[in-house]
Amino acid sequence: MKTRFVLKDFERESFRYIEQDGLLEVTGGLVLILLGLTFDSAFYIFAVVAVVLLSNKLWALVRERYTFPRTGYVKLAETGNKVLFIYFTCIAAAFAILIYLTGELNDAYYYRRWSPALASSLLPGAFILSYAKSGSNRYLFYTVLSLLLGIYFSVLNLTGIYKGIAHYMMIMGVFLLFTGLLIFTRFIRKYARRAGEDANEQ
Amino acid sequence: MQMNNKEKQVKHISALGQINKLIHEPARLLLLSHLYVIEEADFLFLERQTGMTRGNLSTHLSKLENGKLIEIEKGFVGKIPRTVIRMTAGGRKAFSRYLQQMKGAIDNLIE
Repeated sequence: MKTRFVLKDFERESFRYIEQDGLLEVTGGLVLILLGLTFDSAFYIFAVVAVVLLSNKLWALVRERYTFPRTGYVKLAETGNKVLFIYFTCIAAAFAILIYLTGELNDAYYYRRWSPALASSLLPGAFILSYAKSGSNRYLFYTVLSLLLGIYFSVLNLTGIYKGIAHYMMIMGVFLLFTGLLIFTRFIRKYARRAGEDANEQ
Repeated sequence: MQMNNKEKQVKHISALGQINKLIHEPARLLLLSHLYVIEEADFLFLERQTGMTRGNLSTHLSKLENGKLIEIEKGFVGKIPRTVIRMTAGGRKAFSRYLQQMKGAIDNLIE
């Protein structure tokens, strides 16, 4: 239906408009750096809990302070959970089949070696969802970069338990953080801050 | 069979007479199109997305609120006032019906 196509464009435009603040990249980068730094330590579980409990709140806080005064406030429709679920299920199934076919089910070394590739395949779920919602090509670039990095660290096969996955998370995190900050700086310069508006202004 | 198709065509085109005139205005149609695909937004967001002037936007929002197609809620985020606009359930139904009516009419007008 032609009309649905046009409405989809409106939705994409709204999503793209809000995501131009770069906060998805900044938050994602910080999370990956934190997890990468603590991965092989006793603090990892605390980092995971902190991420789960605080990342959304932090994101909302920064958006309220910096984004919404410039773009206006919007709450987008919650869609895509089904897409994410299907994506993660497919990735998990693909890896399970791969491991089964290679006959390495009980080999811990095998899981350790290919954990960067697995992580790098899971992370793009968020990027692919953002691409589907916004149509912005930068998310495709992040997906490709993530996959290449994950495969690289798996092939490299660094010594030390799970060193590859930690390196993957830190490098991907630094890249996302740096990119996000650049996008955020451009966003701040582009949009002047405005005070809250009253819809019933006469 | 051909008469039945013809009757259907006439019926769809005649339905234009019952079109919701509150929605069927370019600025309000644009506004509702934006509101339909999101949950809620504030005045500044709609102003930027639609490109309307503040006065024009305010006028159209008032009309839509009076027609119960949208609701406008005033609140605070911390100490900062925020006025949030969202479509009502009835507004979404009316908009969806409007789209169906327009589609039916345009499909039957163009061969």
